[in-house]
Amino acid sequence: MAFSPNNHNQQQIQNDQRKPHHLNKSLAVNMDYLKKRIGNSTDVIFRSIKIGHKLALQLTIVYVEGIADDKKIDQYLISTIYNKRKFYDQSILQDTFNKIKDEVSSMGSVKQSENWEDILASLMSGNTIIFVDGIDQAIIANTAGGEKRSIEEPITQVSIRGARDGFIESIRTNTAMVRKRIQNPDLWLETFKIGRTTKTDVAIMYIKGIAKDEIVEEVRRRLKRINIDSILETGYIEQLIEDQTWTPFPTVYHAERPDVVAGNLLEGRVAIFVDGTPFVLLVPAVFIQFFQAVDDYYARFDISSALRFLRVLVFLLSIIVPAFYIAITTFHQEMIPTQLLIVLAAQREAVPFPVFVEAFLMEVAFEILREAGIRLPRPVGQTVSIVGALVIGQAAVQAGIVSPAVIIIVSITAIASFATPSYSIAISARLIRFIFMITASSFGFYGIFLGMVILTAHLCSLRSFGIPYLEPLAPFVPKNAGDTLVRLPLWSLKERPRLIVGENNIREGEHLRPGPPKTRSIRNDKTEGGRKDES
Amino acid sequence: MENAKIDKFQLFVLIYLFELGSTLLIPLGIDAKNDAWLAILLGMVGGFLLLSLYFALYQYHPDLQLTEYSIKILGKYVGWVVGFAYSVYFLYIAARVLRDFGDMLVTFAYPETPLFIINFMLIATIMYVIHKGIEVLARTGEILFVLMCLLGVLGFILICITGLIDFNNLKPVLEEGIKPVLNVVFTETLYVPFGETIAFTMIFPYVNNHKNMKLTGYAAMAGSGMVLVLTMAINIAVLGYGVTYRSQFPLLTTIQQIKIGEFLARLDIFFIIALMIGAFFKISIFYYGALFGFAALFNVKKISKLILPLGFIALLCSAAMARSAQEHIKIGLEYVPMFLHIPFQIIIPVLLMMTAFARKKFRK
Amino acid sequence: MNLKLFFFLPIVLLTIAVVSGCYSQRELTDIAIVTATGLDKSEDGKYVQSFQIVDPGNISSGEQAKGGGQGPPITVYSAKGNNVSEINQKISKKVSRRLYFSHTQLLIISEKIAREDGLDHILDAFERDNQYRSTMIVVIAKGSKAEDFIKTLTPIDKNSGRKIVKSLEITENTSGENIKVNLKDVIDDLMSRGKEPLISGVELIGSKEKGQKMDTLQKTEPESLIEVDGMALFKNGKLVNWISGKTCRGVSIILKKTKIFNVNLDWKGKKNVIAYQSIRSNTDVSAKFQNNRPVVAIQIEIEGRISEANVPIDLSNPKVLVKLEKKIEKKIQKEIYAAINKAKKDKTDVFGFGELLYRSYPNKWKKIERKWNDVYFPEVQTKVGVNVFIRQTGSKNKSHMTELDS
Repeated sequence: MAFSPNNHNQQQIQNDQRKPHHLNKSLAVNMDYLKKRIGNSTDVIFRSIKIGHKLALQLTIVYVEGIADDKKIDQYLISTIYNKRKFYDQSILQDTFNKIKDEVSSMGSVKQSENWEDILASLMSGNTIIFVDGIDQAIIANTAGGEKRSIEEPITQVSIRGARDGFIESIRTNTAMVRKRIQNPDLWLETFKIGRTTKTDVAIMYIKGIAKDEIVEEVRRRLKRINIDSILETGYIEQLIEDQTWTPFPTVYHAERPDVVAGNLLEGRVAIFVDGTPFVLLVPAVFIQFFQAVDDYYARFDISSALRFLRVLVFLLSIIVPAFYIAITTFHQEMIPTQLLIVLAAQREAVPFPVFVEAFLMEVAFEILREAGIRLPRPVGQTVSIVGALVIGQAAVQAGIVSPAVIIIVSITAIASFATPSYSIAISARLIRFIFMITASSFGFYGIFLGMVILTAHLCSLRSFGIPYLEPLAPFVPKNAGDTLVRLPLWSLKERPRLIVGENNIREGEHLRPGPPKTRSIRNDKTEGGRKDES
Repeated sequence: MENAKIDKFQLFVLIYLFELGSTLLIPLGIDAKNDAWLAILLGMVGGFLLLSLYFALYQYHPDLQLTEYSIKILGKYVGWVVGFAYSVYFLYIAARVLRDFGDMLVTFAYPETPLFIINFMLIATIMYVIHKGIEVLARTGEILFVLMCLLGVLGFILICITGLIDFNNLKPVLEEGIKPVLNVVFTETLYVPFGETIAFTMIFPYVNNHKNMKLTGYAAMAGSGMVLVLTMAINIAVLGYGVTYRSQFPLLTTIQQIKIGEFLARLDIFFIIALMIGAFFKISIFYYGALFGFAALFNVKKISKLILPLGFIALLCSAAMARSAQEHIKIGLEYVPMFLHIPFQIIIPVLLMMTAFARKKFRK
Repeated sequence: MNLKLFFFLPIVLLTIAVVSGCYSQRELTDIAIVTATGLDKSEDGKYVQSFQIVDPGNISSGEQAKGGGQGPPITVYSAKGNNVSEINQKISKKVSRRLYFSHTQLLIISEKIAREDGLDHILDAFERDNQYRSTMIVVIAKGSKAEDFIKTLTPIDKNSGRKIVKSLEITENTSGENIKVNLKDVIDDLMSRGKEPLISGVELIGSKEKGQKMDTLQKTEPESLIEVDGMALFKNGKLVNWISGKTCRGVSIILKKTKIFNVNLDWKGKKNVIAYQSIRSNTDVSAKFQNNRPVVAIQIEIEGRISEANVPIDLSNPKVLVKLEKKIEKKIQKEIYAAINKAKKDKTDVFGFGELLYRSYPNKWKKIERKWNDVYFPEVQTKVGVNVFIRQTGSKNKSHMTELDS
């Protein structure tokens, strides 16, 4: 409990946890308490209605404007009660209470509670509370609503082919989008409230029977273990449930698109939604996932394979290219063809720094430009980055501070790092690059090689929720390897990732390979493919 | 023993990379002149026999490593001494290979860098990887295996394109009869690298599915053996017997001959990477064996405590074991096979086998 | 403990990396790229080695060229010493950088050294040092000192070392009058008892002083030219004789080093009026023992076309072509015999017949090994068979002169 060094807060925590505070029978007392508790926040609306034959019974409806569905409350809840207010028999209070509850229940889920914890929590979630004078219970009606963004194209995961809807900040809408895609009762949803102060809604979704029970249990366990005051984004959750912290590589995948989430759920993963952010986590994550773009599955196998392969290659390039250049010009000049060597030597004559310093300076300059470009408003940002890079590069070359070769190297690296589809992996590459530059400048190729070995070993040792990070490459699982560096035709990817999924790992039928008809007619009797189980 | 499992493909990869190890580096079997490749081939056949011996030994105690079951078979005191001897042997060989590799780098790429520093870098990397466990080592092996194969195929294609291969250089075959070849087999090629698979007796218990494990082992030995045979044959075909004999590192000399246009020349450093991969795994496996050997003997619970000291011992040993690269090679050819390889690779395992067999019989 | 280890290791590694001072590191501005080197002998018996060093600023055409490349593209330094390593030490007094040999493509050895000392005694350093590549080409300097060649500037190819290598390549392929021999081949041949080295020669034509000035590049016809010319025969490591002209071609054919060459033919009294150009050729050399005597059989197959016909001849008639083929066969056969005889006269087997015998008959070879060059080789029986095919005659069949005549 080291989050609040403030003693007062600790006291409050202990107080809250000790005993659930009960409602009082008197409405006035309750209102008093409530107002004090919320500090007279002006967005909490109190509507009092007098009901009963003689309009003697007081009833107060409380809701928070903005996060409750005002329209619903006005049109249904309040008007229902208001219109029928004379018909309540105020003598038998419990009866009246139940009647009100019944009537309100026509518009949605209703429950009742007698302790302040639940009431306050519900109130703050956008629900409406109905207090009746003389009863120590309150009705809680589900009226959660409020403004939300309309469904738009996701910003980070853009695809050429595929749906254009992306997640928004409302958790219910997000889970609904996924439900729409997997219309199967086995898709289960569990909700938690995490964050002591923020009390954020967190939900997990998984397909029962495909996702391994142990993994789901582990996700639950780790989520329950979180004891922090605020969860503002899935990033917080990611950092609190990941397997390893001391690594530049992410072990949790996130997505902004429902089709990606659906696809991953079908491979046995668990999705974690957080209210207030469009980014959804997917666990367990493996290294190859970060190189899979959305379009890979919608396009045909040849272009997908080529692009997939290219991405991994490009990732390696973005790590090694500057180091390679440094190693080759300071240790292994024999590898450069003579003509090129002479040209490079001529360039270096004019430059005062050793290669490592030059490369390092330019890389850092480029990182700065990139950061600057992100913060600026969109149209300006792009221009500044590009123009800045070009102009500064050109000027630096002409001033004789750096050699053109280094500019080329840095540009190649930068472009390579943009080609990686997942931002989290691109970031790790940016950091690792510098380490490789250092080892290259000390030991040349030997240093680069040792660096690669350590990197590989490190990657091999990572686990995400118990799954080895480099699965299915290492350990090599031949059946699943068709979807890693290449993407073999869809009809051949018959099994789900064996280590993530438990038993239920056949996802396709046999003989799915399409072919032309054997005769002149359109029908092809031989390859009925997946239809076999239907007949 | 640690709690880990590796699958059969990982075992294959480990044995394959281990065998190629530093063997690609040295002029293996060159005392048989033009028939060096034949000496390696026959050595491989002998290697199959040795491997089957180690497998048979493994069958008696499928869950234990060599240093553990030697205690069970030979009794507490004798077994402990044998286990200790093996651990020291493994560590020594690890240091030897480290020295081999360091010498090569100093000769070819980094003449001014002290051997100690180069060896230190490699052993530090190995310590890091071993620290993560055999599973990580195996997975790293799977990935580097692909790289190794790629480099091998590439090198082979380049040499063929350059038209350097002259099969006439391999003639005359069996110039002086089969006797010198057999001589070389029994003094060199049988032990290095084929007999060195004794180190895998420390790894067999980790394999998760014992069915067909033997097949995997033989396949790996055959695969790497054929690569070695082919490499030596190409070396002789390209360079001729004389140059191969006089070269410290014949494969590198061969690679240096590649010249296609002005562009693809002087590619030796790429192939040094292939050698680095092999050396890395060979040293790793021996080091691993020594590590767990000592851990079992001295009842050390936390293996990580031993990693640093053993690593340093290996490093110091590798630097101090010979005054010059030549002395190191001489020791390796004249003393090591006789005094180390024959006892540890053949005599003691046979003794263990016989004792284990006898024990089983007695129990009945 | 685990965390400590994890932190300790990278820190130590990093410290080592930084503190070690990067031992074998060489900045590009610290090295002097040597593209060719020459060996001479001075009057007092010591070796003089000259190094052709590239001046990158004056060669490259990049933006960075300082001053616009006014100076000569190469600079030459030389030093005197008892052996190659000693010279390496001494040269550091003159050059402001470390010499870098990985790109040295050419080694020129003066004729004097080749004749008097032989090559055995000086080539070791070049083989042992891992910077010198064994693919470096070796040539013998004819007439002038090796140093003079190194100093000569050449048009088109900025460094003369490269120019020589390229000329050798081209002549080897197109006329066969020179062969490209690299260091490894030379050492192999020196070591082997069944084959002696055969190295091409270079000659300096024109004024050597003028050739070292930049002015020579300003003219359309340079003041001095480097020409590849002739082949040097070696015996026991020492140069014994030169061959030049068409005999060289014969040697090249036997050594399977040339494919394209030109043969002139006479026709009806007029000399050298028809030219035949070969496109592909295949040589098969085999050696065996017949009645305990070595016998060598050479079978050559050549395919080519008629490239020039300056007489009225009907090339559309296949019988005429067959006649021409026979003529070519005879001519080539003569050249080959001439080449073999020349080598026999000098008692040195540069063709490698001995080695062929060793490969197939090692035991019998061992008996005659020692006396091969002096006794057995000159007596070896050689059978040469040539098979020539004329596949095409270019884009015309009869020569235009047939029209004139009739």
